[in-house]
Amino acid sequence: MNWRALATALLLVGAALSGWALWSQRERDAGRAEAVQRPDYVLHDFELVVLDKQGRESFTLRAPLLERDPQVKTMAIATPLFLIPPRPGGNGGAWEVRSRSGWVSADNEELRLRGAVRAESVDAEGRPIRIATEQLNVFPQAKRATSGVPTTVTQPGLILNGRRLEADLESKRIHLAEVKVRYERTAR
Amino acid sequence: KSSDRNQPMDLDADSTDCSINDNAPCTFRGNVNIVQGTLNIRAATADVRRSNGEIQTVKLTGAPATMNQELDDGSQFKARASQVDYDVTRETVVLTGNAFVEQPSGNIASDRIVYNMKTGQVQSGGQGGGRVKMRLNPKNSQQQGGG
Repeated sequence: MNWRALATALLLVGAALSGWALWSQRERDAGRAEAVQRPDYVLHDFELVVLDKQGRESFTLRAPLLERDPQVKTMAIATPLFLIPPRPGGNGGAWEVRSRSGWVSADNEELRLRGAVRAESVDAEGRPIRIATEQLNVFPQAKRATSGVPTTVTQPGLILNGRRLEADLESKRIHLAEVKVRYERTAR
Repeated sequence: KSSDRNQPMDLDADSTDCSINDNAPCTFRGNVNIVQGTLNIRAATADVRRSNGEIQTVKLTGAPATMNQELDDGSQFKARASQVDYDVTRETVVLTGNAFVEQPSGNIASDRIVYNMKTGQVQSGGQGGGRVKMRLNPKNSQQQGGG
């Protein structure tokens, strides 16, 4: 009879040990998760001018909130406004790019804008251009932008809808697939 | 119709490579379909040029590019050619390369045909346009064809 009692006792001890192990692991995870989520610095209502390797302005960023992830050194931004200047000597207009949220890569070479993205500029004749989409990846130094989701490009008298946007922000050259265009006569 | 010119032009295609600046080309490739009022053009490629935000010319190529339009009198104008150059401001269409026009009044085949959308006039040959082959339909079949 006593081997049964012994086995029961052993099982109880085993259950208690594994419960304790699980409990302490949970605490350690929570600790680590909190560490990962905690940014190493936070900026509020700021303007940040980012320079390229030659010391020229790559882009200017204004936003109410920026949090930097210490692990991967990327930045998460709330309602950012990115100002991307034209290339020195180029005839393109500067770009203003807004969205609901933004992300900047560790090397500042890539900006990912998500949610109600609006990129606005002017063409060589000073006419306004607007790109509207839900996702836009901007490469400020290469003056390039891409998107994998439906995108609309508008200008007075022109509405271009399509997918898989590839845009040269400097020459205002745009590549789109599955494209639908409407040309309207602009008011005289 | 002569009112087509004032209608918006809708164009769809597989892809576009478009420079937004004036006088720079906006090129469309693959299953190009243009609709402007009663004017309907289908082609493989289209090159659209604008000035001051207005379309000036549309150059289309295809095997062949085809064009349909309803005329003011309700009859149909059909055309096809390897290249169709639509000058929007002058309202003229130049068809080159195995050009063929079909109207109730008759057909024309030539290497070069010029169609004036304002007047409905069709001119063919000349400028190296080569020989012209024309078939005029008898009056009664025109009425049937004219609808």
